[in-house]
Amino acid sequence: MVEYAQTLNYVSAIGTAIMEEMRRDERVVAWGQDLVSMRGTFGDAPGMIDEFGGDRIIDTPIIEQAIAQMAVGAALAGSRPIAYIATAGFLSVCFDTLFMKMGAMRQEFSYKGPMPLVIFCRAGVGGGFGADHCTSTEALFMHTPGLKIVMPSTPYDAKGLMKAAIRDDDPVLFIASGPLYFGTKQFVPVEDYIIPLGQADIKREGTDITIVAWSGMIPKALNAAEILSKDNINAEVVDLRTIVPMDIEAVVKSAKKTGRLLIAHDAMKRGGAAAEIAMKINEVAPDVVANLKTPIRRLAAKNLGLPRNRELEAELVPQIPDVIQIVKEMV
Amino acid sequence: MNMDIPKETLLMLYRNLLTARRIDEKHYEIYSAGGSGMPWLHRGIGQEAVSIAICANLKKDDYFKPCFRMRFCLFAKGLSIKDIIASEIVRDIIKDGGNSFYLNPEYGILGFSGSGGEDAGFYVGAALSAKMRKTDQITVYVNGDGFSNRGSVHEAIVAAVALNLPVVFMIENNQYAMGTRSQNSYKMDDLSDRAKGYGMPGESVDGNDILAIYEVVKKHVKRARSGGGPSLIVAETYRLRGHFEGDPQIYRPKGEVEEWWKKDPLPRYQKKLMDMGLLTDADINRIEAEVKNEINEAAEAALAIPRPSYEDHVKTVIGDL
Repeated sequence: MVEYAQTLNYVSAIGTAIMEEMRRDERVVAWGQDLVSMRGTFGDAPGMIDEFGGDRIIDTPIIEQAIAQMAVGAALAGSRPIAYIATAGFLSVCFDTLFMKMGAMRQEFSYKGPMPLVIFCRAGVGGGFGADHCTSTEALFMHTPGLKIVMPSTPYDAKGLMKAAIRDDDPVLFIASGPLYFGTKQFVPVEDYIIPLGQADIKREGTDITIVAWSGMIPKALNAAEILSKDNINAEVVDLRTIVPMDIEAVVKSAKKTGRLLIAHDAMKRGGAAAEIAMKINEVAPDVVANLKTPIRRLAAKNLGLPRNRELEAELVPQIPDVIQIVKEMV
Repeated sequence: MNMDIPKETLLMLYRNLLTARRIDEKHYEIYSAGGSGMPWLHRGIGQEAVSIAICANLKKDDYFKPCFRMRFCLFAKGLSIKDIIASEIVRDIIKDGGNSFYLNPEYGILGFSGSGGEDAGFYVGAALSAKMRKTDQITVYVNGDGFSNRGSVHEAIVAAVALNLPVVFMIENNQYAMGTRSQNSYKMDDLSDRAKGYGMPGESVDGNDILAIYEVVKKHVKRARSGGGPSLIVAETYRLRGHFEGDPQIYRPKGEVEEWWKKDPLPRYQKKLMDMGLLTDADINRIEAEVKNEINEAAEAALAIPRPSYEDHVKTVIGDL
């Protein structure tokens, strides 16, 4: 019996997961900019900073390369660090560490031991804060060997996935959705629960078309699906939750059922994750693809840098009407 | 010079310095014969005193990243010479029952970055982990004068200073970053003045004088281990060979290499020990024979190990997600 005793927003759910894991395992530590000094940057689980601040949660200067690299070293040394990098755009500052080292180094050096670390950052459009703060960079890291990528869309998922990420023995890139941080609250179990990495979730059942999405695109897809239902179009929304490892079976199953597949993301279209998913389903289930009623399509941001302007940003990145339009074209 | 160093330590330093020299020469011998599988060879001959003196001041589980071309000196920290040579010639030491040489936390080895300096944070992070785990482990992190310029080294130093971590940073200035003279990259007389900008102590030492390095490192290691925070040592030495074997070295002034050969740390230290009456010709011959024998056996065993297979590579860690 699940005990629903708290309603949490997304960021609090993440903070709660981190606090619970820190209580469970003393090896879990965290660092980054302003985690202690500004409280809440990291999730505002009540008492977390009082309990762990300055000891197991520490502030660093603005040194993203070192923040990420220290996670690698500390993980090899026996800690289970969570390294906080404010935005997914800033990940590019420490690209060498993420791309060349974190997931690949153990293979390069034939090392079979664990490297348990979480790089925690946020991404996502909606605020018009510009490229460095909003760009969705997951495709870059999807192309990275050995790095798991978590991108939750709800408080419930965020808590369970953060716990799974912390307990994982491999490097995990946890990209939270900035726009969802203080969004809709949700009942989140007080008890310990894990959402295994690599399990998609059907956020809405439907029969006419499958929309595969994750993170900040999920609320937009769900809103579009509600509006479409008034026109008797029933869209199924599949939330991948983790894009590496990817639950391609869930995508196959849903596409087989609905006969149509749309992949939508906030990130740029060229070389984006949608291309990978479309090709992957083609490889693992060519029969399903051959029987689709309409070719697979993708909806993604234009191949442009993000402006510091909320209205212009909304022009570049898919919005609810864009989802509705492309679905109507496909059905 | 503090002559309180015990005789056993002085002789251990000699044997290790000689062993380092002979491993480097063995690498060259295998490389020159061809077909070993070595993609390239960056030699460290002439710079061995720095790493050997450092290792003599560290415990097995202290974290240590030598200047990349000096990694073969890690035998002085306890790693097997066979594993070192086998790694250099790309053999499957894991399947052979050995340990990963480049990444071996048990011995405080946390990987080497091919883009040098990009591993600085690994070693500082281990020091942070040690502090959080409340162990007395420290880090000695060394780069050449070239990689020390990288931004990630700066960030790692900022982290170590801000968090008061037990890290001794070192620059092994061998006067060349590949083909670029080190003086082209800084404008002060003493490179260790860089430490002042970070608010940590720094000093320079003759990198070809093994006892001088030993004493300076000992002092800084003690400071780090007792909670004194990070510091910087610059060891001035010289790269006697090209950046890689086959490097035409068009960037060297005529006669420079010959001048530095006169400062070779090995004969220099040998003479010192003989002057001190700690080493005789018979000792020298005996140690030479023992070291050669040890390295020949290690190299033979290493060469007998097969190259890694694709299957083993894929199995190493998480594989294709």
